[in-house]
Amino acid sequence: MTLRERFHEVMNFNPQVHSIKWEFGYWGKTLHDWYSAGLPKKRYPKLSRTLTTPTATLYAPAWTCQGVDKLPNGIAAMAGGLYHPTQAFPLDSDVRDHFKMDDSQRLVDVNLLFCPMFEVKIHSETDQKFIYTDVDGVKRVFLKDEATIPTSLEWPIKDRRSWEQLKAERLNLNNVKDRFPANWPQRVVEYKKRNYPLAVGGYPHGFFGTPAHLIGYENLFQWYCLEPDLVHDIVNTFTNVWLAVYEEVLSQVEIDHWQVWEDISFGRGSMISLDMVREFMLPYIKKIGDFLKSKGVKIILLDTDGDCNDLIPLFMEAGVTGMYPFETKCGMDIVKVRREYPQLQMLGGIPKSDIHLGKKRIDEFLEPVDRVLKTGGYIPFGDHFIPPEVDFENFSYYRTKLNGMIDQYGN
Amino acid sequence: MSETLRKLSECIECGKINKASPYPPAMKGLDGADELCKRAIDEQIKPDVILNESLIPAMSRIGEKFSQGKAFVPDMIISAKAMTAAMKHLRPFFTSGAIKSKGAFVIGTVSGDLHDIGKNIVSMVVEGAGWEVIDLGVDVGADKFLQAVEKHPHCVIGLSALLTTTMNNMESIVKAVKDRYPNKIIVVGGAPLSEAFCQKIGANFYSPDPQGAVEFLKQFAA
Repeated sequence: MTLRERFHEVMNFNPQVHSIKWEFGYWGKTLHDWYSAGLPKKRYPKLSRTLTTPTATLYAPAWTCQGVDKLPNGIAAMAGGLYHPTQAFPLDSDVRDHFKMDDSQRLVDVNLLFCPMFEVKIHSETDQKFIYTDVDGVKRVFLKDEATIPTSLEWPIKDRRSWEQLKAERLNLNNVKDRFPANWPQRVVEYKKRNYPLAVGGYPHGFFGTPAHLIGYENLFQWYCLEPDLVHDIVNTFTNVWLAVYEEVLSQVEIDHWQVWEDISFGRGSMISLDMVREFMLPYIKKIGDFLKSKGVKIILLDTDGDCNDLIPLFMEAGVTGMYPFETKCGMDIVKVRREYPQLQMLGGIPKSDIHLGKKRIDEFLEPVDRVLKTGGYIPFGDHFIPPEVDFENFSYYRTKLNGMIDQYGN
Repeated sequence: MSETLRKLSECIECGKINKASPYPPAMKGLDGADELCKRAIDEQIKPDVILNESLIPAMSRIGEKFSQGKAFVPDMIISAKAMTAAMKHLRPFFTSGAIKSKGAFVIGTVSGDLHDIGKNIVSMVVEGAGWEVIDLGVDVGADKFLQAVEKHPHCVIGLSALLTTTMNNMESIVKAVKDRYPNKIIVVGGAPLSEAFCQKIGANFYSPDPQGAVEFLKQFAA
């Protein structure tokens, strides 16, 4: 059975097939520490300065401003639970091979933001800071010591006037084929003979996520109240662009699922009211979801950190079939969610920050994982990137035990 | 309470900034916080009465709703905007001493962290509760907090962090401040934080939401 086939069987709740061995990913510092602690270093994750599309290589200028030989501490290496390529994050192979985990899901590399992309512009660089404008038109600052994901300073959608200009120049539907990378024909050949799950969408493409990404969170929150028609126009425009792109993709290659990035919830629940979710998000999710389902793409996975309990039924109403990563410290309980939503596909749900607390705690938090694995439709992994406080010894114990648990249920 | 103050309070709670503002739809075309605060002053209502009987209770109500999950981030921001529109009419009275602020609250996002939305919301809500807010911005190290304390000796300090990597920087800032000013009160907040972390680093209070910070600050009001 290929990984792609296994993914479909697991997502279809087939109890005869065991789940998938993925993690969400690992911070750069985590990997450095694990290599020092004995993780065999055979294929150190690679950084690249090559820009293809915002989907694959957003943030690449920041990650590589200090060179390409060493992973910045705050970058993430992908480990399957989140797709690759995204955000110029490299793919891990050493942890995967050491623990005999599964290969990663992949994301179709196509431009889903502004086309043509913005030119990367470096505004200033010191020993401490790298300030630049990325291919999505957002001006960001990267702090070299902390080396975490760059922080946005200015956004390309500033008001209706700037939006209308961007819409005319970079979001029209006359140049859909320009959104595909130069090596698209070769990628199609590869995708057609693949053995991994392949998705469309991904970061930063969502119906709250993209507006927040391109307008700024604080501005968007005000616009929901003060400029609702403008917000609708923005979301509707991107919906139509994505529909056109996905139609083109699907004319050439079969897709396994759609990844929707929102990050709309935090520790206290949804950032916006459920009425706002209904008005500004659900109709658009449904529009694309219905189209994809008509083309045989039946798995729709939505990514939102934090406490998403109140959002689950709304997103399911719009056609979402699964969610992740079920952040435990924000109150997400996979046993409770499985009981309430028996058909919701779930990924994540393991308290990543507790792995370092040792064997007793690991055994404790794996007990509910075992219970949910029995029900199917679940791919267990840490509820976000594994942080540096998780030492290699404890991660080894946790991962080995989890792998054994996964193997128990099905072939 | 006068009808003007009652309407002003309603505008703050609902986020009606001014007459031109389209929000909330039910109040379209009506005077907003900007116009009503000016009218209240023109009606010779004392500025401290406007602040303490209309504005602060309204912000407190929306803050409570947010704490209870009945109001959301856009509601907080738009109410704070309405509050700001009203406060611009009261600023001269703070300067003249006709209104005394409850005290100084120095806030910043800690070094290595550039996220500010949580800090900004807390700043707006605390200012709406009658405090003078000195916002140091983002990526703020211990030395800037110490300079702020020298300038505002009786201030309460607020530290914000959004990342698990940067929240650890709070510890060194708390230590630096407490080493020089052992009795300085420090409030901490941010997505990755917890009560346990607050105690571990020696801060005085952890608040998961802005209204919690306001309630905590009441005991230190001048």
